Amino acid sequence: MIYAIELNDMAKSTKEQISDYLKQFTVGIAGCGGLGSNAAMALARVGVGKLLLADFAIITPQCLDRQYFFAGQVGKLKVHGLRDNILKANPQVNVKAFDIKLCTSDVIELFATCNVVIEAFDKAEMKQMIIETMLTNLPHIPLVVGVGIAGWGKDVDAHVRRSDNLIICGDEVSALSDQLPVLAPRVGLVAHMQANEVLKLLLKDFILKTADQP
Amino acid sequence: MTITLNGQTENFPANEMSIMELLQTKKINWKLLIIKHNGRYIKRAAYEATVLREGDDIMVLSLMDGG
Repeated sequence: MIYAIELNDMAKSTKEQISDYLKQFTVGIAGCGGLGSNAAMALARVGVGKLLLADFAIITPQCLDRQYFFAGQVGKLKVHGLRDNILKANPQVNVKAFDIKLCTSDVIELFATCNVVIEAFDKAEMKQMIIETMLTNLPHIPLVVGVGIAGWGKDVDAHVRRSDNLIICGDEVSALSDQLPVLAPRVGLVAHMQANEVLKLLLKDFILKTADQP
Repeated sequence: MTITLNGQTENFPANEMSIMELLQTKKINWKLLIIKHNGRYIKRAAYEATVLREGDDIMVLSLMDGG
């Protein structure tokens, strides 16, 4: 019995090994709204080493119904509010906050060192800009995009599909409109699908060590 | 001709067609699209000039607001 306990002490748990392994990686988050804030928190909690946050918006009361912010943070920059929240959940994450409306040259400069980038913009034009920029200039870096997230229910319609380094999460049809708002459960669902795809990419070469196999 | 559109096999009577013709035939009319032809990103300005042939692979992603 004592011997078994000693063995367990020697071997780190699977979760600990995963978070240790994830420390080496950097993930870019382009947009810190419903998709970006929720995906970033999930990646921080599992232990991704470095997160680069980019957004230019300020937290308003309207953000609170679906984005990972709190009432006391209204008026702050989203990147600063999210950095604070990430560090409360996991103080070990290295968070870099960029108060910026990304353009093509910013995307190339900011995300060139990332292992994976999450596209989390609200406007279709911005989604096109980052996808075009990444496919053209940084094609070796996987880009995980969220497309078709508005409304409620339809959970089985949300899917993941891949085209080389472009990974698409969402139902690809539910556009934001007056009749179809973006609501916390479904945007959270797709944000976590994106985070899960990032994790899958980062852990593809991860090997779990057992007690007798140090 | 037979092409692969978003992972699905599709047959068309024509022997070749432009990306623009494919979009019209398939009634893909979203304002903003991402298109890859045999793995290569195609800018919107080249939709007319890019010709699809037997065995080609096309990825079309319609972009919409929400995030």
